[in-house]
Amino acid sequence: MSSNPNTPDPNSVDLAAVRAKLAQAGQKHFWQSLEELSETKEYREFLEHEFPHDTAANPEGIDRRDVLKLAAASAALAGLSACTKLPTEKIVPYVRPPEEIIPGRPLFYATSMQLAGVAAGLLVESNMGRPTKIEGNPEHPGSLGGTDVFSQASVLTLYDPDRSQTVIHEGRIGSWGGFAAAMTDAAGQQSPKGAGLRILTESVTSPSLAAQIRAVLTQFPEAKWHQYEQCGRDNVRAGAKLAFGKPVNPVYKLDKADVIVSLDADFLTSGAGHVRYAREFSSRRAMESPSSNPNRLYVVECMPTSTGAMADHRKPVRPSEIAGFAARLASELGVGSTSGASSAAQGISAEWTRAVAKDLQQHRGSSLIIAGDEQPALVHALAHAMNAALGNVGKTVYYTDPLEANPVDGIESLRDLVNDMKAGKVDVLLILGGNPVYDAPIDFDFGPALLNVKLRVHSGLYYDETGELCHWHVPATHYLESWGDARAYDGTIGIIQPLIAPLYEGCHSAYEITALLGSDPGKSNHDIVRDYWASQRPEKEKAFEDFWERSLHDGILPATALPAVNVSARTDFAKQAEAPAVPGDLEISFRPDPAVFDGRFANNGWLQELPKPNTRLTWDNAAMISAATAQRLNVTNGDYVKLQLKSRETKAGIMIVPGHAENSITLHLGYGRRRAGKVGTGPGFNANFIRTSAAPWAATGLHVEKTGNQYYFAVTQHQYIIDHQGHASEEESDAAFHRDLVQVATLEEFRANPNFARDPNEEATRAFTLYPGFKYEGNAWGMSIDLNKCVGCNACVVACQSENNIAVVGKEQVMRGRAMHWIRVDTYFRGGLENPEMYYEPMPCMQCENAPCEVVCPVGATTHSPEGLNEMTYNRCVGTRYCSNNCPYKVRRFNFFLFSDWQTPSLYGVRNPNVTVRSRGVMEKCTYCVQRINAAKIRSEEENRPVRDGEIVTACQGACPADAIVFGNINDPNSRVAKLKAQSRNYSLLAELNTKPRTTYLARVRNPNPEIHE
Amino acid sequence: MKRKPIYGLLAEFETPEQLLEAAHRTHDAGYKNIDAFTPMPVEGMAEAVGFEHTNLPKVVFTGGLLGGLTGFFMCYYANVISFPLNIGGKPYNSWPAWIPITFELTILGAALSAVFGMLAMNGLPTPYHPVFNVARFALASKDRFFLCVKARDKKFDLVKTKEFLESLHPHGVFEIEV
Repeated sequence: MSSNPNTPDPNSVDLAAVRAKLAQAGQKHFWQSLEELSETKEYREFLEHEFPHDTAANPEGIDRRDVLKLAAASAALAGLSACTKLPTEKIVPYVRPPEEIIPGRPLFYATSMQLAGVAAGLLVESNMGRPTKIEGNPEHPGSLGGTDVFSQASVLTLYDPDRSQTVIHEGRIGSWGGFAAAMTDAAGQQSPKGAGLRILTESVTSPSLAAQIRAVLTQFPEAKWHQYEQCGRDNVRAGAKLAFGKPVNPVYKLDKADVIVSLDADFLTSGAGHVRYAREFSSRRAMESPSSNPNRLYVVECMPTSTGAMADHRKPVRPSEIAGFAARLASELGVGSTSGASSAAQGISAEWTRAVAKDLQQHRGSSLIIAGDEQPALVHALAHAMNAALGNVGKTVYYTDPLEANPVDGIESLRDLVNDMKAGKVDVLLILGGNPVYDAPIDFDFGPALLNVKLRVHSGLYYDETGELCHWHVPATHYLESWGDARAYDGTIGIIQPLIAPLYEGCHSAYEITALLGSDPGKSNHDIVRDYWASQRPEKEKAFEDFWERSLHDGILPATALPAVNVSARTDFAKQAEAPAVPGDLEISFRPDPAVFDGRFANNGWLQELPKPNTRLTWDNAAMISAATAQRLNVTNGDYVKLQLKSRETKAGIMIVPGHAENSITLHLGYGRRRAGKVGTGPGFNANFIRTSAAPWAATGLHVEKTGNQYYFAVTQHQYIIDHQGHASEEESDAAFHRDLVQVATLEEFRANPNFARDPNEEATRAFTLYPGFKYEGNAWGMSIDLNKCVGCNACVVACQSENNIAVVGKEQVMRGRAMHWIRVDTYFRGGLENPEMYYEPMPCMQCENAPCEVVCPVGATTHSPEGLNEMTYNRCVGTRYCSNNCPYKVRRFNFFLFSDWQTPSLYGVRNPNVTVRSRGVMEKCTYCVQRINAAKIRSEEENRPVRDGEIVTACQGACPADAIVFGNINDPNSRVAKLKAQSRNYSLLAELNTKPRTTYLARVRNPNPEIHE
Repeated sequence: MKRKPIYGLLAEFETPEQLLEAAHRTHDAGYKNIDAFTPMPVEGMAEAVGFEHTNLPKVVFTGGLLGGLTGFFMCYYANVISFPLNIGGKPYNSWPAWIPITFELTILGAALSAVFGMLAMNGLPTPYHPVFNVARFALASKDRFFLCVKARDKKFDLVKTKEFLESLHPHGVFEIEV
């Protein structure tokens, strides 16, 4: 689709050619990217050379001479700095060392992290008092040991050098004392009614904070408490209100569900309880034997998500059509009237809907319909009514009181506040967390309205867009520095306990700021939380001490999950089906970003560089669009366009996403930050410019206008491609290379041939060698990755980055194929551009027994350990990159520059002390977390016993919410990993090369509805 | 007065042809321990003074063999005995990988033994040689050709040999003092 057909850009994607190729290849061909199908120049370069830009090793614009000049300049500066006198620093030895701390041995503490108010239970590893790594808390119902990308990456935010560090008063450094005095003054002026006092928070599920704010409201009866959470659960509560008359909180039991229908719900990787849901969902996809009975998932969604990729049947539809589909499905199930059924979604045929309805009806009591958090109240209400009609309530779903202490509609609450601000009724505004200047609906004009407030106070981790408009900015404590409590998805209260004292003197929690208004200013964060629970619990004195200590140890208050409440669904709302969208009208939908969420993680390099599920886009968001719509609008990948919605506009780069719904564009939130920090300021496009309170999640009437400029995305999808197609190989050897890297069968095929994934020639290939083969006695480490369970959430990628001190390289280096992730999640597509099947394949190092990388190392820097680990010796590596060149799996990463930050002192804290921080010129790769293996071996030797199965958990395995990764000793036939490898679905990648990988995969088994023919 | 012992007799010739002729005749006359000195290489001179055989090839072969074995067993010791490393699942004794080292050390051993064997067998370096006691011998680097019959030759007899040499019509015959 080049603008000038005579000179096509060799890197542009030719959609016509792509379609022709897909038509020719048929449904059985796996592909990874449009660039691959179109065989663009860039793709071919990445195929033939792992690092195609090797020859131009320096960033654009810097030649060798400049590098020497810079080196000389920095050497001169280094010389100068050595002349300055360093300040005297007093060190104090431990006279009495703190109890429990044994140098070199980490301690784990339970705590919780809130995201949009919902707590995830965590165990945090502390090395000598320094939190370094996040693990899931197996005792916590919202975690069960799993985590997600946000909690994994949160430890980097703690040490972020751009965090605000001091109290700021009118742009200058202030003091906490000055702030406290100002607040006391303000409270005095507001007494006794407090008519001009407003508190704005994010979603608050914390009982103690809510009690504290309520106490302030009692003290100042005319003060108001507003809550606004951009990616909160307003629609969930509104939907419950519509269906049941009260804003109950639905809790799903996915392990009990045989048939699941998702109405644009990405319940596996976002929203309340997604970590738990991923575990429950994948537990039904274990497929130990052909007789296993997996669940079946139908997904109707606009933007391809991880949940969509796990679907057995997926339909891409526009956001406006989802309500129509839900109404039709409901009427098939006998809920509501059939009116509106004729104005059905174009994307979904009546037969499909009927087949889904029939499947649901055959699984009454074991089916489940989930509506996405972004869906309007009506869709939620329909889902509740359908679940009730199917008898699922109490079986696969139950309802509790809302998690939020004071459930309000965030947008309405903020609207009240803005109206009051505009009317000049607000004298004092406390913004406790959140960044409303950036993320409030644009029609509120929050920023200008805010300036009407006489005393504006902002508390946040960063001096951000909101902070700079406030009189006072008080740096907030990170959750690893503060006390608190928060509810999990089912209401269980998790205790937030600090792992470290606040890094900066200025940091104070919302509790401490609120306390300044109350009767007890100056009370510490810890005392506020503890005293609250002491007053709430029946245990007193000593009994409470014990209870509190146990709760801190476990991270949760026992038996605080909210009980199920009895509600009955109305069905009369079904008549108010929304007007269907005009066909051909372009729609836009907004979604929280899978990496930076609503923008709060924008300054987190780990998350910015994380390839997002399905698109593998890093460092940006994009106007995601389907291929057909892109053709219709005459735009293509990378076109920089103007998105106009009514009178508002924003600019964005176009990205064609296979499987995206037609006639719609998805733009993720959280990008285009103006004031986020060194990392977060700049990347991406601000979706908030066109997001209004009337249409917070989806809007119609979008106009796209080309600007004529190009935008370059850093997409890792066509990097590290494995040339299994044998492009360069001889004709006759082609056949050997034609085994797909992803092995997939339907349930029917699997039952007919349980060994479908095995390479029939594998035994012969293994026998075809002159060498006797190496005998591994004792431990032999291996890994099994279940493709049927992996939901592609990327938690493993960030966990690995955190555990192994992996550097962030930046957008430009990612574009050159130099991202350093030791494990990546490859995405494969199968089928047409409109609605391809999607498959995830996590790729750590395969730890091949016959490792091709090792034999080409001229300096013996990469060798095998007696336990079968493919080890890198960084000291010996001279950076020839032969190994990476010879690795068929493309899992080796080279430090082209000094990617690790050795300069910023605050970042020293986040590093794992047991893993070397690599310098430039060194090759690195997955080690199976050798530091954890050795720690377990030392422990077992001390206790004079063999290493137990399950004692060693690699970082990726520990983080996996789906339990898809299992590590262990394959020489022990009773180990979990050995049993998994004995399953018939087990296969190894590129077995025909006889590399004997230690990492093997369990093939994917789809469970399509036999009545649906697509 | 006791005569100083002599090293041999030195006959001076003006042309290489004369020297070649003289050398042949001296050798044919039964003198085996003779030597010739010329300012430039003279073809046939080695044969003329009876030089037939050298042991240098044997020395070079032995040196090469020792070098090769050293190379191989150095690799073997390092890879199999001292610091065994499993590289790509190959046996420790993966000899094909050691061929470059073995080959290089073979060549090194052979080359070194050739150089030093040659020097040793030529008795080099020789800091003192009696022929320099003859003043006219300095001309051997210029334009004169010398034939030396050494005193340790079995047939050597100062008077008879001197007569024999003079019969060859040299420019002059000199006694070489030790």
